[in-house]
Amino acid sequence: MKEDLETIIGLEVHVQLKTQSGMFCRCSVGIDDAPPNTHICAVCLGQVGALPLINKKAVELCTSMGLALECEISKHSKWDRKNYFYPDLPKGYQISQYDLPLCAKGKLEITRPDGTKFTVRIHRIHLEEDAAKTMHKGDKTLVDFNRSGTPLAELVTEPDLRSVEDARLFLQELQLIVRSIGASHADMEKGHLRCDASISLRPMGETKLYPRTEIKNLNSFRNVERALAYEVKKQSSLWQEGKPNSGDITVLWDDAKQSTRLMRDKESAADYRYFPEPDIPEVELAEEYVTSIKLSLPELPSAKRKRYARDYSIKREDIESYVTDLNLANFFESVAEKLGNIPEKVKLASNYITSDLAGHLAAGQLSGEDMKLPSHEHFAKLINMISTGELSSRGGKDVLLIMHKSGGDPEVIARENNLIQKHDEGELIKIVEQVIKDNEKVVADYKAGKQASLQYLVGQGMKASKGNANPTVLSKLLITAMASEAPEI
Amino acid sequence: MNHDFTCTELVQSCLDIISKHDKVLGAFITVTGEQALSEARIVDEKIKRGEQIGILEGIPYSVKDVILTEGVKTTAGSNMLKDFVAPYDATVIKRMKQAGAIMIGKTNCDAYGHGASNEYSDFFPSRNPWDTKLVPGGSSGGSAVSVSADMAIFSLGGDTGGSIRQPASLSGVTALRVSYGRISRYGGIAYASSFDTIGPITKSAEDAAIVIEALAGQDENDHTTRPEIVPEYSKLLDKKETLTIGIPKEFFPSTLDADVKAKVLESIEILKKLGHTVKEISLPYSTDVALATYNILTRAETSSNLERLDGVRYGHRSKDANTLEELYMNSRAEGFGAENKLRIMLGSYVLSAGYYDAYYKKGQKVRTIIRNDFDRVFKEVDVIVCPTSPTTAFSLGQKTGDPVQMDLSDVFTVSFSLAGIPAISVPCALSKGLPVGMQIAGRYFEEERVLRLAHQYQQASDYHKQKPPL
Repeated sequence: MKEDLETIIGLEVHVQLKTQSGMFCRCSVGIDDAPPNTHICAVCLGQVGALPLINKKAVELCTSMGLALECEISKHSKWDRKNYFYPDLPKGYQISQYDLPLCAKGKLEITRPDGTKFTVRIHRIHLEEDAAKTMHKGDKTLVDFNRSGTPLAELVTEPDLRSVEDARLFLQELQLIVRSIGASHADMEKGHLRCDASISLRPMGETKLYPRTEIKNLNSFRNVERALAYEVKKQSSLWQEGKPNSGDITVLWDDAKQSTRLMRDKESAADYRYFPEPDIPEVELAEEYVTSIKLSLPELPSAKRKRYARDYSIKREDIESYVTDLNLANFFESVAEKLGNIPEKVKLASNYITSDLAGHLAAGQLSGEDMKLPSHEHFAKLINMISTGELSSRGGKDVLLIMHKSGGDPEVIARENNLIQKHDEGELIKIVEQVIKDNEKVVADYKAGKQASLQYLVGQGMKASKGNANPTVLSKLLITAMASEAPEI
Repeated sequence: MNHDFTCTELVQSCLDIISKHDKVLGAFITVTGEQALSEARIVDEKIKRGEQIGILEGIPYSVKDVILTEGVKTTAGSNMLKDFVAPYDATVIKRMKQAGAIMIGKTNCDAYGHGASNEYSDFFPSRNPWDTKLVPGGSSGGSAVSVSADMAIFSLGGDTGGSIRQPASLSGVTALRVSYGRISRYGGIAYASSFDTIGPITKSAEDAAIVIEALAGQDENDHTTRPEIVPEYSKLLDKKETLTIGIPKEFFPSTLDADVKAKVLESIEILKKLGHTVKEISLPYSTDVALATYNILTRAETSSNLERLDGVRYGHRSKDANTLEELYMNSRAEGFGAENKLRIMLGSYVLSAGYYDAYYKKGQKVRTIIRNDFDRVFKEVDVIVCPTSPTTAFSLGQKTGDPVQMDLSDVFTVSFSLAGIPAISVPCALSKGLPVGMQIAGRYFEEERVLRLAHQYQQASDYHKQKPPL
């Protein structure tokens, strides 16, 4: 008998904060590909006699994260030591926050592609320092302490997620948020964002939580999805057999085998002997401090989506492109303003930005601040020219490509490349007369009622004008010209 | 300047005493003679050129081997670090260098400060210059000996629960435990982070004032240092003020050595004659309860602070290790002494799940009670005077088999450490030919007052001028 099972997922996410120096030392951090052990000091190497120094920027960035996720910010700041032995932990303890995290009790509402919404409660976000990086080479283990001491924000959700897809959507939105507030690069592949997922199932309708499986070693959104999907399948069969897991377990995701395997019990049952960090005095954060951070938060993705939907009648997919790319969004807004916010022109502009322009930028493999965008005045001018018919859609694309490569005024470019559509009626009338003269049979077919012949004639007119004629105008003139001729009896 | 002798002569005389007596006294682990003499020559040249020199410039001093000195071996008295060369200077050393003082060597100590007799140095014990069959006290035993025997003019020691005051008391010199946060701990190998202080061992309170003037002040490398300005301690020693002195009755129990008790009370009479008022106070939690509380909290902190000594990045690494676990276990088993292991185990226990509330958390609460108790008495008195140590120097080997007895040597010093307040020990008598120390404690950040009273006492007595029969 098939039981209807519900999936319960909670996530623990470590976000590497974008600071110049370490959480507790002045070493430079976040320099990918630096030669090993070149950004180290007495503090992050765990030398005897060294003492920790608080990185104020890290506190600011974590507070921003908390505020962006509607958390309560703890005014009383307290640090704790988490004691355990491992070669990547130079002091033999990690300075973290145990019972008084900086942020708590927040939430994030997410809209699915189909328009439905779900909310994930944020249990807590706290600050801690990262461990060093270990690498295994044959039978040796090497340790690179460059990463040691990097500021991390650890975010823990309540087990509110109900599907694998929702988990991925949550992670993507979280990534978007921390990027938009400048808290982190949040590149999962580079380890800026790490995720452990906990999952359990339960019969639909029940409210209690059953033992969970914690999955570690997930280094991409895809792996998070695959691992969770794997566990859903595995645990479903256990439930069908009437033998669900009897206790909490921790597993590792094996990417090669595309499956999970049990971690040794020792790693999941440690006594960290937490106690308050005596080297860092407890401090009170002023109300003004939190307020000033709140006021300086940039527009969050959810707010931007609402604003764009309200102010611009563009596609939902376009809005998403802008929400994910601040530079593209700012460009779009400047162009829209230059176009007087006229809806059809704005829509047209957005089409070109999100398909053609974005395509060129992607091909050039530039993004973010590296993007070489044309000036918004020139771009707006281009859109105007397409809108009035001065440039055909094809012509517009060609001009844009040139603008992207070497900049320039679209009017000048169009003229130099003979792309300006002729809709000077005088010139076109000559072409129309010539086309009618040269295509008697087709004209007769049209007059007999064959509409398709008109297209042929328009085509001939385009050819005669070397593609510069405005087809709409041509068509209009042809119809008028043919109608003014007396029909043959 | 009197030009009675040159700097080089001064340094050389210290080195001569070291070569003559240190084989027996065991004050030094490392002597930096060559470096000291070359620095002395530079100072002499400066003087010859008629240049002004600072008050500490050219003065030879020793450093307890838990304080990091760049390029010089720093062992903490431990096998774990027996070949460890410090990669940076502690802040106090930087400030001594700025003042131009000349380091003469690194002194022996109980490993990591774990001890009260200097017998728990992994290398050799130090001996009391007043009677070499006796201990000099600990854990800054080597430092105290070096000053007592004129091997150095002053020393930098460390005091966690009494480690600078008690050896000073047993060896007949002066030592000041500063207020917690007055002097930077950066570069001092940590014993118990919320108790550790670095301070001077000297021949007089005046010298101590001069030294802390150069050392004190906020350090950007140590969040536990405070921004309060540093008074010109040495210039404020003669200010006239009348004080109310509190004598805590619990610090004069019937178990206290009768002669020590008598001698300390005599010294208090001298303070009375100087015009101060003396009154009895009660500090009911500041002896036995304080000792138990101190033990729990410091063992906990030290068990954590010593985790970084794991054989991975520096220090001793066992050659007999085939797995990670063996690397940790063997390196630490080989590198640490029995007393270190005892404290690490006790500390881990009191922090462990299920016991944290009963021991560590409760200890913190009692610490607050003790602090509040001091606040209470300081509403009635300005300073507290009592013995530094319950006995004079004891024999080598007498207490090493009995940790409780050894810990009891600190029974009169630990409460001031729990409260974070300043306390000085000054020689106040000889009892059966051995030095007796008197302790003067003051309010938080009032070392100025403590030094002043000690200085006044030393102008009305001369026990601090007495020298051991070397």
